[in-house]
Amino acid sequence: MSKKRMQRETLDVRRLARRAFLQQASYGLGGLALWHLLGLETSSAAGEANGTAHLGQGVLGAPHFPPSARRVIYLHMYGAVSHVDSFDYCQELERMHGQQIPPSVMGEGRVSTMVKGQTRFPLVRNLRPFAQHGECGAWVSEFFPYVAGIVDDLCFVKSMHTDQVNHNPAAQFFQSGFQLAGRPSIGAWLHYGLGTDNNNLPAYIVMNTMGPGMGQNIDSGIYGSGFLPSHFQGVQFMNGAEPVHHVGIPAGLSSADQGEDIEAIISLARAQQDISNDPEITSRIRTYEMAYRMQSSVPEVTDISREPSSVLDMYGPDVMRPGFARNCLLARRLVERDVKFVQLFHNGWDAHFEIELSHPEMARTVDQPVAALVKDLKQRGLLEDTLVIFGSEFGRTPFSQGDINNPASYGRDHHPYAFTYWLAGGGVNAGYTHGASDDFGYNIVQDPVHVHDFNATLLRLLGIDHERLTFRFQGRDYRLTDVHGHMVEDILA
Amino acid sequence: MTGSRTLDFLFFLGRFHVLAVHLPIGVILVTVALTFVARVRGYRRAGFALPFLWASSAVSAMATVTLGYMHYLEGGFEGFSATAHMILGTGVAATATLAWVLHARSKATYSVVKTCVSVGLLVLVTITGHYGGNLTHGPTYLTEYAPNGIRAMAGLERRRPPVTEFAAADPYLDVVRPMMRTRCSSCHNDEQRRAQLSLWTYQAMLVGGESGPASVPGDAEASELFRRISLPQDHDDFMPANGKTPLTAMETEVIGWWIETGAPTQTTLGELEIAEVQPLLERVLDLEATGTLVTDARALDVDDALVNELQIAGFQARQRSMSDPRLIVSLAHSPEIAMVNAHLQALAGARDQVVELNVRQSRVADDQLAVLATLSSLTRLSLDFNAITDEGLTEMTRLEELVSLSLVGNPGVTDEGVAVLASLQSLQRLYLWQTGVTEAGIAELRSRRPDLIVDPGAVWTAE
Repeated sequence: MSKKRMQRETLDVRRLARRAFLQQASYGLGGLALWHLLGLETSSAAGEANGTAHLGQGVLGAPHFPPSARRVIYLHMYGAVSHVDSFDYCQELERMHGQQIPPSVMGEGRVSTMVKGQTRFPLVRNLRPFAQHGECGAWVSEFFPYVAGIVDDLCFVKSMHTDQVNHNPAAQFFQSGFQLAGRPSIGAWLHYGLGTDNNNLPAYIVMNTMGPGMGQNIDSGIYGSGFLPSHFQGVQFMNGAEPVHHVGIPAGLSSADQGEDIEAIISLARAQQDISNDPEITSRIRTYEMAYRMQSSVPEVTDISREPSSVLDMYGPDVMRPGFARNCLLARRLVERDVKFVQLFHNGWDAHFEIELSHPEMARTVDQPVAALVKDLKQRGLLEDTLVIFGSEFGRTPFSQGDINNPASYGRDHHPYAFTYWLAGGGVNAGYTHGASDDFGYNIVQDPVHVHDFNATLLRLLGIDHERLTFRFQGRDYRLTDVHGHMVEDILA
Repeated sequence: MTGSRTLDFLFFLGRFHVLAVHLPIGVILVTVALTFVARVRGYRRAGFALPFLWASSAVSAMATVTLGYMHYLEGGFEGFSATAHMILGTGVAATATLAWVLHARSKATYSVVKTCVSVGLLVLVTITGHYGGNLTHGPTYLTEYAPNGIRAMAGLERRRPPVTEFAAADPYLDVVRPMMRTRCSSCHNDEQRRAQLSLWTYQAMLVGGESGPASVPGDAEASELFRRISLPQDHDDFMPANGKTPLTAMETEVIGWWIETGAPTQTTLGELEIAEVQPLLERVLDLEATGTLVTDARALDVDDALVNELQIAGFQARQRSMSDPRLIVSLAHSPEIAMVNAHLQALAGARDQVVELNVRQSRVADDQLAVLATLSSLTRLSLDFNAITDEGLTEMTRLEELVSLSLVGNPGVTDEGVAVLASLQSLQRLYLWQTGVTEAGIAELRSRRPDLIVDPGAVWTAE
């Protein structure tokens, strides 16, 4: 480093980003700290310089294992689907409808504050009859007639459990392995580790919708990048005519003009970065570059006018307007273009009250498009290496919240001790059911799968050893599964 | 902070010992030689340089010893070689100083004392140098390639003969030990135990160092050695440290396998269950292609030049995994970009490496399939939404490793074309949605190849 440059850095210390400054101060040598801080940037920059790194390559260079999944569509039913009314059939509930849940089943486990005041916990039958489907004979509620048609492509995990009992922390926990915001979400980890296979679109895209039920707050921290540089966070596509705000070129400006504008802005940003060493400036630059490329890639990928009517019919009439069905179709179009991680949050499943009214409506908005998505991926050969995940942040109680004798008012409370996920494609064991809950859907009786185990397995399907994808922050190595997680081998085909 | 910086600076200087040490050796050799040469008639005048040379010998030896001590402060120098080197090195400096003093005090050319000191100095330098060399290069550096006769004289074990037969090789002595000695033992040997660790012998690996046992037979996860060599290279704990050449992915995998199978030694590979690692072992032992169990042993390091060519052409190319350098290549990121000759050339260049290819919606025509059909390693090919017809499909039968083929959205593909594919024995999955193939054609194909999964596209019903 030249003497002049050193002086400048010393003098301009006030202009350093706070975190960058603290990092540098702790190392004493500004230049070295910058490289440390931008470890990723430098390793790829150095790699590009000596020809060992390739465009869009992640920090791992290549997956630890040959991946069976190369893309993910994660369908998160936000608010929590009732597992006992969807895929976890419990005959005892029918028989004991209205009776108190046996104390031996409920045990001493905590219940949420919402039902703590209740003196009685009467069991509620499965809201709709179940039947067995497919060659695998999986039980599916009448709420999901279309999903019932694809069960042989699905792998059910009926022994999921989590540590969190409220929506936001529980969703955060599933996404980042920690109940508070501030750690990278799955998509961010994947982008960081594996890079991107499409430089014209974000590697991690999020689409949120609100169904006809009770909504809960989703904040962008759930799909954030935590302590990873900001450009790894999920990019949200909006519902409607303009999925990415202001992505179009303003009237009266040509693409070339705007390109020059962006170049000028980036050169200013680089100048500032020379002074302040703030890694977020790199993220900012990348965001500008991505936005510029998205001006042509986003209109192309979101234009469904050339989808044949037979395909649109599969996803159902809702696909014609912004909403969850449309987003399922867009998710297929995105993974078709090698976008790595598409996250859909469908809000409205929370059913403390009036579950008999809201759950049928919610299931109706979801069933057909979800089944269509799996079938559509399958007929294009994409299901071979695209993983589809369907689940919620937790399940719902087999007993009622509120007065069970008033069908218009009672519901089910949050239930973290046992609930159901399903996976399709991407090298999962199709037609297989892993684990089981008890006769009431209350506790797990076979092969429990904790959130960390699930995430370890998810990473393994993508070729990653969950213990070997790490980022050093605040003096220690972090990973998606923190210090936990065991891969569930049986889920792998 | 100040203390550790001072120490750091001493360490920094100390490392120059290894360089500076050559100076006194050279000067002393010249000086001693000259003391004898100067006795020969006709060369006596050369003696005028001796006072200066003796001074140089003494000063450079003292300086080097000082640097050597700074180097020693860094730690990690233990064992006989280090102690001997230190004592003898100090002896060299002392003797050189003594010689300098003797020369300054007496003008006599012949002197028994001086001769003795000179010869003694020479011997000291030689022995000190030898121990120094042991420290830097490891104790067997000198005798590594010595004939067995000389090795026997030095009291060393006989060199292991090169492995010629796979089944007869010893998993430790012939496979793991050579890797340890090439990549690890220059810092971790019995003489120089960085972090208290030696990887010189089997026993030493079990004992381990500061961080615990290096190898826990049967449990690679718990083995510190395996953990450190398999970390990402930018990890603080990664070994070898300080940018020294690391083990290759293949070697790492073999070590992992060896520990996991209980760190066997005093046995032969023929006695062990080795099916999946056989190709790796063969490569490590330099015995490729002698195995019969697995035939697709391939290099583990991706060819960067090929990847660059592919990316310049517009493809996205990714290495399949860390232990498989073959490539997954795609044009899917840019729909409607037509595949042209530049693409084909890049693909042809990577002929043996491309294991998956996705060229959907890229206006691929029949005549281009001739090039794709030369990609002999291809297991998966997606040709969705192109202009392929039956004519092009005849080429596909050359892809003998093809497992999955997608022809979605090529209306020119008909019953006649796909009938040809029945002869492709490796093929397991065939996607025919939106093609010209009829139900009859699919039925015919299924009857000829009951094991082949033919997907005609979704039939849309709810149950």
